[in-house]
Amino acid sequence: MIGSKRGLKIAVASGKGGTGKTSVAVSLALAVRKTGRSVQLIDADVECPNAHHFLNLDRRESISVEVMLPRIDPSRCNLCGECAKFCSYQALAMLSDRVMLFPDMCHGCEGCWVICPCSAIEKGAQEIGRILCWTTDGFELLQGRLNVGQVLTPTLIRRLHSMADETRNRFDLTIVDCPPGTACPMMAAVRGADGLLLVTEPTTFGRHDLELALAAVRRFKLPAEVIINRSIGDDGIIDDLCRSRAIPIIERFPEDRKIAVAYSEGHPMIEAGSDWAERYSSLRKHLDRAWS
Amino acid sequence: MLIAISSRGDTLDSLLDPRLGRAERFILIDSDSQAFSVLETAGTQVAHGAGIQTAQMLLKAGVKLVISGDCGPKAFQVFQAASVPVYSAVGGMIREALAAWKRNELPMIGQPGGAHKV
Repeated sequence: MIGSKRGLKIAVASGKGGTGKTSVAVSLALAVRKTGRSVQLIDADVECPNAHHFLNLDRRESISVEVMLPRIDPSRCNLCGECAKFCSYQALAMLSDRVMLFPDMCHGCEGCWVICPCSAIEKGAQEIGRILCWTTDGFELLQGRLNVGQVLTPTLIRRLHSMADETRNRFDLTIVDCPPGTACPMMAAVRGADGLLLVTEPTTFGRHDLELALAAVRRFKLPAEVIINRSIGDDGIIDDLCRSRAIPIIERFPEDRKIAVAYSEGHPMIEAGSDWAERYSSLRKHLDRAWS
Repeated sequence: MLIAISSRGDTLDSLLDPRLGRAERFILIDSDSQAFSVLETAGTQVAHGAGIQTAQMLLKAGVKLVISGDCGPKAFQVFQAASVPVYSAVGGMIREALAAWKRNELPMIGQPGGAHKV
């Protein structure tokens, strides 16, 4: 049963965007919470965080996430150029009389600070985003928000995970709402999870991106299960793939206008009607069995 | 004065490369003696900051003036900081671009263009 061991972390991912990751993650969190168990929800879709819209919570904290930005002291710099040579991202350019900094190229690796032979580089900081925290009794939502124009998405997601890990053992379950795609942000969000729920839809695009997602997360060797969303009865296209990969399909959520109506009013799937409450209760029971 | 022109080939008859940061090579010409050499750049290889890297290489080589198709925002900042003017040529051969600059026909880039994609 979920909660028999504290700190269980399940990632909800997809590959394809718009399959219903956030809807499933939030609704599953609420389904587990309904049984009296405590849940931590991580909104790791930091480029487009929106899980809070489905939940009625009071925000408690907003924490700045910074990375190191070099500050060069011209009085100590001997113009050796080692820092500019080292930087893989060309954030530092060597001119004849000074080093020029391009802040938006810097990935905050601190390498220039380490390599400078004259200690001319000081650690400045730049904010890449913020972590927002909502807490109520038995429920915590941690959400990363990348600042506009920033590119260090995986860095922010890793910091979000570290912060969540500090309180993770107080909860029966942690659910990670992952960003779409199969690139670095998705990988950073999935990393460290104990299990994976892949949400897909029975379309050519859904199958294609599910295949990519399965390939991307293979190295994590995580137990993975598939949820088909917006099923219209014939899910053959996904069935084939899952059969050949021996990945269980644990739920088929039907296409239902009630979901769209609830969504438009800011309500999660689980609140779209008694049939949906029942479906999530059954999903929760399945996970209780799978994680006993 | 050493002039750099982004080029697709190794001679004065080569075609001008309209890209600056991602040009594969530059023809470096001494405006007094007309002697020229070829500077290979890693511009097309790097994932990020090709313009910054190329600009640094040109400055290190002692270039005092650049002729290319356009100049991205970051390379432009580097050249501006080093007081190296960048002139824009539409295409044609290296020797034509050089001649056009000598006739004062090339516009100096005052505003950077958009960053080039790989």
